[in-house]
Amino acid sequence: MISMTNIVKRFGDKTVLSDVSFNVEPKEIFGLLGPSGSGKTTIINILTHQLTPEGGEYNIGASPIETGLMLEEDGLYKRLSTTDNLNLFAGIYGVNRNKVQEALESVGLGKEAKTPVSKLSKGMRQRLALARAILHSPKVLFLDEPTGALDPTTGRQIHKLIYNLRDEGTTIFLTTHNMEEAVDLCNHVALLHEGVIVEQGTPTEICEKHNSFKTVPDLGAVFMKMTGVTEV
Amino acid sequence: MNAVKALFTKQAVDLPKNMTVLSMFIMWPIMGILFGQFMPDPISIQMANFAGILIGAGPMIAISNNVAEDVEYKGLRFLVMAGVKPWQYIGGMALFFAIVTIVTLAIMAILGGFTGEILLWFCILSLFGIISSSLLGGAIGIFSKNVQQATAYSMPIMMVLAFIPIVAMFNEGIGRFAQFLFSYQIGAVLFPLVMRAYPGFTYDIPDPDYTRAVIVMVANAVILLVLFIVAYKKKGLRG
Repeated sequence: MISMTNIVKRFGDKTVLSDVSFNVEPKEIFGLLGPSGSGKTTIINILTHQLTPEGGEYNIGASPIETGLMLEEDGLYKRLSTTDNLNLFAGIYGVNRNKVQEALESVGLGKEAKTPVSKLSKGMRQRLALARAILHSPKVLFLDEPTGALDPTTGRQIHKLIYNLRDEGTTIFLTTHNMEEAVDLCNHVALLHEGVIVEQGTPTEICEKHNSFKTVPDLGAVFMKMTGVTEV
Repeated sequence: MNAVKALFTKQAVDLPKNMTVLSMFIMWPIMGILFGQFMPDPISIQMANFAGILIGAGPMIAISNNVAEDVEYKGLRFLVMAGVKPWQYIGGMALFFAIVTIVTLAIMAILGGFTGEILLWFCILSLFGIISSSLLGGAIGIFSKNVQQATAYSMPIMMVLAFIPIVAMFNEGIGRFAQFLFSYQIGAVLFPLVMRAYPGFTYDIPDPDYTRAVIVMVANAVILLVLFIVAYKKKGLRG
């Protein structure tokens, strides 16, 4: 569904991605793991055609309109209500307006339908950005740190929503620096360090390979062992 | 058409909440009414005067502010990712603010009592003026990284477009420069026409030169279209 082969990306003299390759199968949750600055967002920007790589090839089995996107910068209209923000995109996608309330309910913002975005907390804005990303039932969903600003309870609700979307046939590509989240959510993961993929596979395979399977797979320990970083 | 309609609707919902832009459309008719009440000149002259400022400032400030805001807060990035084409984005916005300007101008025309030849020229000049002002606003918005920068560009330009034509009435030197501005030609044509309707009020203003007015208006629109295309080709609309 999504593939990258030998992708190289430079900003000036600095190489931010070196020979990055991976495959994402249809209807799976694929996690790209790594600390801030490792190149995760650059990969999403390339896959969503916002950046052009210097080398390599990439492919997405979905048109831009069949793609949903949630980035760290939410791009929401602060003066407008949550409903009006989604109405804009419902109009663009040609989606029935009933789906707007459904999308708000699905991220737990049903009661905030008339609230201006400027009055929402960061976590609520993140959930609204997710509602916008799934409004048109995309084939492929890109989520950049989907639970980064959320409390654990809301984070779990979002995890449940992501599972449901996967079960309904959406291919999900997410980035996170939260190793536990990756173990919980992802069918396959790739560990990214300074623009290089140092390991990839299922969380269980990776942890077994590196003897880091305690009661649950400990991807954090694998990452630290492979990259030499002391904290993830 | 879905995208244009959706963006048009979004602007309609957003305008009453955006005081910076809204003030550009309500301030000038109110100024016209106040000046009409307290100045010796008839309200028609005040409305012609402030209509020129509205046309020069309204669409330009509104479009530059909105485009710059969409670039700064990344709204444009999500619109592009949703398949919105640049012409749909800028077209939906320009269409909305053109209609808002036309409605405001219609109110000013009614308040000023414009009829016949005055109304005809008011409509012709307004149309060209709105096109020029919108293109200028689009170019400023594209060139700006954020709202602050767009304001820094658009305010001095607004001062030139809006107030130089007024100062030009009293200063020949400035008048020689101002005659090349689309906003000046609106007043240059309308003032003598309006004053003909009020023989009691006489100023030393020549008769309108319709040919020159049309040439300047068309030339301004063409130059600003070129500026817009250059801005778009250089920086694009990707957010």
